[in-house]
Amino acid sequence: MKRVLTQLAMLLLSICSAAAAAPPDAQQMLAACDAIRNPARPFRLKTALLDYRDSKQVGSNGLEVFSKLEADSGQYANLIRFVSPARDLNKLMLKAGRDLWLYDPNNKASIRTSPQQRLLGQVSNGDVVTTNLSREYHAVLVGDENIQDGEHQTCQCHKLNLTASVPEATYSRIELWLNAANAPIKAYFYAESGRLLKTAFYRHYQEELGVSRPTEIVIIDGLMPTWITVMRFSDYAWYDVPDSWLRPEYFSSVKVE
Amino acid sequence: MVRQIFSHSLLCCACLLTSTRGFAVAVDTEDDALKLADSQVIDTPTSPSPFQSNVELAPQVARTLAGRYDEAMRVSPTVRYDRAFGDGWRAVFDDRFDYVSPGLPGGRVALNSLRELYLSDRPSQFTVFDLGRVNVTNGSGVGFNPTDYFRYNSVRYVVSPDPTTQRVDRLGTVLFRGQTLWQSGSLTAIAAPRLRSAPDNASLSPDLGATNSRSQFLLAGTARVADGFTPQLSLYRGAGESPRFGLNSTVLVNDATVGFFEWSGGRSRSNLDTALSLPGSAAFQQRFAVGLTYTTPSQVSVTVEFDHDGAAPSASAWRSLMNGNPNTYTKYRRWVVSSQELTTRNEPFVRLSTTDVFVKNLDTAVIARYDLVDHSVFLWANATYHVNNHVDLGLQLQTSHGTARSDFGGASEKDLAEVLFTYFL
Repeated sequence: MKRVLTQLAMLLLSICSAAAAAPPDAQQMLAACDAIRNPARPFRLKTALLDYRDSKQVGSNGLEVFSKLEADSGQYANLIRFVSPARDLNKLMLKAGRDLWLYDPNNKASIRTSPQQRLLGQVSNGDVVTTNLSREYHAVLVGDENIQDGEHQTCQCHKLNLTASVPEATYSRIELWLNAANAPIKAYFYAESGRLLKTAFYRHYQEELGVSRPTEIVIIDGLMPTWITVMRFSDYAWYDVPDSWLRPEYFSSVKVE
Repeated sequence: MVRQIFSHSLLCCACLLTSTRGFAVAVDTEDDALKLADSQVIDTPTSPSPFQSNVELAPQVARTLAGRYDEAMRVSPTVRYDRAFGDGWRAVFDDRFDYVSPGLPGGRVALNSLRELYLSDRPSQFTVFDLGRVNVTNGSGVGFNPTDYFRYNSVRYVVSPDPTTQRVDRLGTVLFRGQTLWQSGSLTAIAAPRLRSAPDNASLSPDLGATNSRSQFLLAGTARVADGFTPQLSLYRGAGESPRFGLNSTVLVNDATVGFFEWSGGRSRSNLDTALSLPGSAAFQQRFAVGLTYTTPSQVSVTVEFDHDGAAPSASAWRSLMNGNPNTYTKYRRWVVSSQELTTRNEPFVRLSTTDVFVKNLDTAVIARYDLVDHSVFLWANATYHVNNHVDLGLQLQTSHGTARSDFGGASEKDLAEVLFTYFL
């Protein structure tokens, strides 16, 4: 009996030590990263989006994002409201799964657009809306690397290789660097051809809705490195996004108060 | 005078385009990009005012069918007020004023368009009621919308041949609308009463007779048939008309392509009988628009659409109209403009548009229409440069080709060039 107990104890010990030594699960790390980027409850935030070319500001947009996790898909449905410039005021963009709709309050037209059609210049629709990367990409842990983060500091990061696992994924492949807390620090986004589309730095972490989240993303164009977009997030708030807002039929009645 | 303003406007366009380029500063590394972002003060977007307004200034030169050059100047202020109040209430006011020199047909120099004025109540998040003048648009087509039932007589003054613009610059219809949504569908009911017997061309008239000269009813429902496929079925009836059935559907063909189909069918007289107030006999008429919009990776969007209007004149009827009584021909042409139907039965439509492709902040669009019966062609091109957050500068060119009295060759303006300044307050 004593021998059996000893063997059982040794077995438990070996299982525990094996678990402690096992490399972290890349998909879980990506899910943890998603939880830092995106609140799980419905919320709203404001996004200031500035475009630069050759160090000169060439455009700006103000957006309000209303986001809600859909139970069946595990992915976010997003309603984007344009608040500036004045020519775009109150235009709406809805992204739910692969469905993408644009609404102009002037002509009342709800126009279905394809994912390839960008609505905000150099920034893809996928950059603006809330997405759970772990639902759209398969992650592999490559190893640890020291990189320069968005605050010009050296950061020891885990490097993940992400490959698209669903058709609605915006990018074919992503290289993603996470810090020790699985917070995103930097990413390279690639096209199917292997061409680098853009580089992103996640920075200016602040406590928002109970979690330290990046409040700015600096995006550098892959082909034209002097084309830079800065996305600044602010005014995070829990917000009960009505289901009707996420339907194209209701666009003309959406009124944000 | 207008020609001087027009040439100065073109010069001004060129100056603004060149002045925005500036000197290039090297931003070659990721660190440089971060330093650039560090140096910027980014303001949080503020909640917008319920007021939205802009002013358009548009000098233009047109070459008429007779070969004469006509100059004109248009000034068009627009105001929109959209405010929520109380518990789920909303008030909307939208008005456009066009001042045109040397004047419009009939001698008027000014024309006001009260586009919208309505109250809205949302008793729950899935139910909405609207009462007042509402611009109700419908249809998944781009160049032709047979299910856009409230379009008849709605455009007081045509400022652009672009169908997208025509949907904006038109009068709403006085109506009561109720809409309810559920998990997999929606239902919308509209009732619009008869308020006046005929349109009123007075400059400041709300022109209720243009949009409410007869009672109209619409029932439209959507149902989610499959993931990403939610077609709309509609039933419309105007006083003295047979019911018209409608179908609208869009489908995502692939990551770059959206397909659409819009259909309307019902018993009615031919367009010619309606336009000329002839008794005629009713028959089942079908109208549809079917097409695809493809977007290239470099953000060039191309829409290719085929439009069909079964109630429009056949090839032989159109030829005899072209060669017949000029008054009858003119009366029909005027009706086509106000009703936004096709002049003849079949018409391919192509629209090409770009955003930020050639120059950052430059939007371009080209529209081509081709009449399959008389082989006339209409081309329209627009380039709009967003100078800053308050100013747009545009250039529109259009040309029509075809034999005299053909669909497009018979247009009163053979060629037209217009510079468009827009200031957003």
